[in-house]
Amino acid sequence: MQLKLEGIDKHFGKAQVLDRIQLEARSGELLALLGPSGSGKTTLLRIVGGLEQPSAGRVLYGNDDTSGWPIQQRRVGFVFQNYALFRHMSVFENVAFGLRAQARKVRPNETQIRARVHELLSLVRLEGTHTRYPTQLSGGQQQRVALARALAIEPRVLLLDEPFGALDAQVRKELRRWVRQIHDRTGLTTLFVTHDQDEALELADRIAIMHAGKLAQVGTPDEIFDEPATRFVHEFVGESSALPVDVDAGRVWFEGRALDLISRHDLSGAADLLFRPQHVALVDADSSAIPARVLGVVRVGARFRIETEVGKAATRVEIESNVKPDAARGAILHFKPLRWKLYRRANPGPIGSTALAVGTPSIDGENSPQYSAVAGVA
Amino acid sequence: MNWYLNPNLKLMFNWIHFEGTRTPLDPIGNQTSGDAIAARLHVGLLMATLVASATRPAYHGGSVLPGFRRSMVFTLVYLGVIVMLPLAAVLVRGFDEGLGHFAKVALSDRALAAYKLSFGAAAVAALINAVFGLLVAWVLVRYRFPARRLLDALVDLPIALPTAVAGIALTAIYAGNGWVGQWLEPLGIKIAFTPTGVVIALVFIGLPFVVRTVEPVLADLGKAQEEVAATLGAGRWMTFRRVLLPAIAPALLTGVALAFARGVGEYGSVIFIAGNMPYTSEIAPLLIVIQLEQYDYVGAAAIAVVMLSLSFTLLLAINLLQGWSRRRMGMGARA
Repeated sequence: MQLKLEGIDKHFGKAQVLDRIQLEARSGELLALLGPSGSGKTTLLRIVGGLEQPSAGRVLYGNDDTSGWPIQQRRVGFVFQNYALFRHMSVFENVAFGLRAQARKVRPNETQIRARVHELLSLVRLEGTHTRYPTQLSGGQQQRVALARALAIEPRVLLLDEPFGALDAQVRKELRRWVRQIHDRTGLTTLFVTHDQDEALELADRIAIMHAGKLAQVGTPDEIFDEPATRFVHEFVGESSALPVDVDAGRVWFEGRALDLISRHDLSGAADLLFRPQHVALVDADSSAIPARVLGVVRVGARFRIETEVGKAATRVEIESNVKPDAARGAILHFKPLRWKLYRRANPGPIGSTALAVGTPSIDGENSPQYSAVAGVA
Repeated sequence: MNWYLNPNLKLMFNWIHFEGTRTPLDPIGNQTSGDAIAARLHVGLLMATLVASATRPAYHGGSVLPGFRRSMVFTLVYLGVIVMLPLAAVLVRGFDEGLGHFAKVALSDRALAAYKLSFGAAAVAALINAVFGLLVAWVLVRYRFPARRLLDALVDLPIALPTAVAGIALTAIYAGNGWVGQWLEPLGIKIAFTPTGVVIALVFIGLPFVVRTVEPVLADLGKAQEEVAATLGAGRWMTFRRVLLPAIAPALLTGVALAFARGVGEYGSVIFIAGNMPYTSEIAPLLIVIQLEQYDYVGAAAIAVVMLSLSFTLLLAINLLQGWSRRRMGMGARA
């Protein structure tokens, strides 16, 4: 079922937590709400689930406006951050709870309940634990019980609040893959909240990035990673370095050097040049390349990372390399960003203090006409 | 009369310590000086044991807990001196003049009526508090509203207030010419100087016990449990019956037991509003005082013995029930 949020506002007292959120999850889509803590993502999820009422705007399930629907009738599968399992009930009773709560007319009988619960437990690979109590299960098992319990009511949508937040790294990875499988098998429209970008990038069909109560960007993991719409997204997802530059009629200048980076847009003024450590090439000394002083080289898995400082302000820049660079501490390297973006600095000042003013991109992908973010491939 | 002098409450006091950390209410609060002394004494003795076990760092099978034998000996000695000794004295004293005298005083019709009132009214009051105390606790835990702190402090007032003050205040309100009484009297409802009055006084006295024991457990439970039940389609009643109540049942039972025990031993607030008519509104603790005033110490002890055994039996039963409910709820299965 398709899920549509239209102009969702939420205030808690004077604080505005959500600001005109427009978002659509396509039927069967796995959509991640990604953002730092306090960005309003959990509040948004709770509004979608009916646990919280929006101050303005509406939530549509399919074509049905859910405003005023009691939560009991929404049929949402909500998995809470700490699972909120019923501690005094066995695993079986936890999963059966939603079935027993149904109105008498539609409630399945005991045999059907038993069959359904065992079917769900085998879906989440927890056969044989039905007589146990939640406190006797590991974190990963509890999480799967919570999921089975949410799936029992055949929900219209599945909402997961930080589903892997409380698990250790190994279990996390395993469960991620497994949640994806469950999602593909059930075909449910799923929204999940996370602050972990790796989780979002790996798991989601699309990612909605939230920042200070607004949607910063909505897009596929590739779009988010390669074409960040705002400086916030650029820095929040993946790693990036930022150099203060001047732009003159589309030409990028760094401390008196004309870099051979040409913006497609003809713009001028102070800006920040952002690029990722992976998108940097080491080149021979050249007036259009940027010189960097090596601080050290560390191995990151199969690759190497060169930590450098650049320019008068000794800006930290990280460069990734496939081969071990032949660079001692203090040596000077030259590099060129291969993929980069410019963000205008609203107020000249300390680097990165002010992100370039950026229009919130609307959901349907029609980007703001402002020349806020200008990408280029050198 | 302060409640820490009350043999029944003394019993409760120890019972709570057996309950250990699960029981959030500390009955040796900081309300009266007597309590403070008791608390200090308690802490002092505890420190002494800890110091004693620290001075000789023995190997306790790898456990960081002080040795079982040492703490057990301490516990037994402490309980012996603080609880068993006085109670034993009461027991011995009660039979000082033989079974005949004991039966004459402690099992007289008047005494039986008094037991019935004391235990009956305490039970009714405890049940009323079970319902409304739970409600108060729930509101205090789940909602944030402007005067919450104030309301929260108000809950403790019945413990802090000298019981006589409570009794006088209640009497003033419910007497035939009182604020509430004047409206009820024409309707034929009499509260002051009847068993109903006794119940009302005991409800007043017992409220904090239920609220304070249930509150932390409710807070610990979190609202997510109620929310998840709602998303699964459960209405308020089902959520209460199948999610909330089972989870808080052990704590609620503790609170009710405390309120009940307090009610059985309550004296100060009751004697003003009860009217103290033999056979109808005379409570057992008053009967003890009456015996004392007649210099019949043995008779007083005899009545105390009966109250003591009844209280102990009932509290033991509640304790067992609590253990059973905890096991049934899967709490005992905690690995």
